[in-house]
Amino acid sequence: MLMKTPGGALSTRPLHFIWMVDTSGSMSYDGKIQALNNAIREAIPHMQQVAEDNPNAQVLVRSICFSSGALWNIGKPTPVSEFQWEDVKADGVTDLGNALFMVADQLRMPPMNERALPPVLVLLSDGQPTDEFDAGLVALMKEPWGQKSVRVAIAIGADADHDTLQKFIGNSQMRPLQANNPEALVRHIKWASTAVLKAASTPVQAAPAAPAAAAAPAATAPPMESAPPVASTPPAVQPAAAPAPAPAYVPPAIPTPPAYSSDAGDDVW
Amino acid sequence: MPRWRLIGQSVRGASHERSGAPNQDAFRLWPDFADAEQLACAVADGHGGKKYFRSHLGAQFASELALKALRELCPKLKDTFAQGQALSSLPGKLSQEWLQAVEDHRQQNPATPEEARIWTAELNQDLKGGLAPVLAYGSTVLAVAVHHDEMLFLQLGDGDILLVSDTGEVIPVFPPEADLLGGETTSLVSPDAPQRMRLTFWNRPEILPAIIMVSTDGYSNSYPDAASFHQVASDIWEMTAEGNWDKVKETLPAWLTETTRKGSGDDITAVLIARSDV
Repeated sequence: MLMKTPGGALSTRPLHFIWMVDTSGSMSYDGKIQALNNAIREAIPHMQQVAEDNPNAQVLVRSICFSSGALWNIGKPTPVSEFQWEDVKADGVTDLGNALFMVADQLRMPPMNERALPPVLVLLSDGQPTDEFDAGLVALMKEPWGQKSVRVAIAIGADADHDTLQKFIGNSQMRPLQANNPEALVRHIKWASTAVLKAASTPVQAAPAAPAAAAAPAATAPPMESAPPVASTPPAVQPAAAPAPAPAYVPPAIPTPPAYSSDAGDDVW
Repeated sequence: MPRWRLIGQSVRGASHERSGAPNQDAFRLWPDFADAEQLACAVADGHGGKKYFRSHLGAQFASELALKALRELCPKLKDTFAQGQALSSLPGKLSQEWLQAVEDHRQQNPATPEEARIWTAELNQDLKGGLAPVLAYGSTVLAVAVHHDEMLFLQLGDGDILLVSDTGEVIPVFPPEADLLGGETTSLVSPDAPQRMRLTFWNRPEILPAIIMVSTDGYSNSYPDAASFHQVASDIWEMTAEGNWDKVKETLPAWLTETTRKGSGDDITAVLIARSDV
């Protein structure tokens, strides 16, 4: 006799990938916005290939543009296999803080759930924020999924504010990627949308970044038919003579971006 | 006095099949036959990933040591003095023994050139072919001991221990750790492992679970929500109550294989303990 697989409907784990695109007026200079449109469009088949290679992650893509205010130009989490990029236009100032508030809203639980993979946020910007960037970043980092998100930043041109981008990344081991010409922008966007996506979509556990601030958590088996078991709190007992544990790290391990010899020259922006 | 039976199974994750990574879960059962007065099981989930390149070994050490500790405790589960001793010393003892096992293995098995190369490439830290870091062995551990109507549950890190009542109600023994998301877990490599290890006794002989399910997080991550996952345990209770325990045992590997393929892609290990009269 065949028996039905126990449990509810099976599901792959969602991975939310969000483009955060600077569409301020300065992006219209020297063809930056068109280069960005082309680069994202060019990256899509590569993203789709990465997603196909890992069918246990459901990659959902969306995009938010920020200039004078912020707007989800693709607000629905779209399966990467269906994702299409419509050209965006540049105009206005650089309200990055506004965009961060709006992304923070979307990373709240719900609509996110705890079984998702870490979201990937890719920020592309050529300038300095003109609104409350710090407040927006605080709002993002207040959300558990904001804290756990993998954040990558691409600086477009010489005027990009690296300090802001570094704050967004929030990891001293990773620097903003500098794109001074359309070719570099294509490479960086392709890297962010493939290597980073691949790393984030691979289920890997890791020890938490830091020990819990509180003491031992209470062991709390819940009641069954109103009959609670004896719950106990394990005491703080340290190993006596064991070797010291290694320091812990935060997942996922994002690969180091490749170095390109041509990045040093051919500056357009 | 109630008697118990247990089965266990572990399958390599679908994503590990694709990447060539080994099954980084491990489990141990005692005894490995049905209808026992006392039993114990331990399940461990090595963290996987390149920096945890020996976590399949860490999981083996964890499951072996946890099973050994719980076997020793099993006959004394009713003894409140022994319970107190376990609460005060088991987390530290298990963490320490695991670290010692890892240290012994490290000393006898220096990092291979390939391990050193991967470590260097991943973390930009040079092992120079020396000892593998403790971190490389990172693992969780979950364990259960049952002696007649007494039970002990232990958990460090992610994974689930679910109880199913005689009416099919499913209850997790420990709540999820709310501060951990996206694959983060407490671990035997965490400096505060003894403090984060959760331990509790079941001291209500008049209300015993019909089924206990212990599983690694590859199982729960294959479902969109807790209710869909908890239904695994209640469905298995129902099958068992209908007299299909042997079928459950026979079919478990196929279920787990299908689950990792259509679900999380991660290794999945499940141990099922059933009261013999269910």
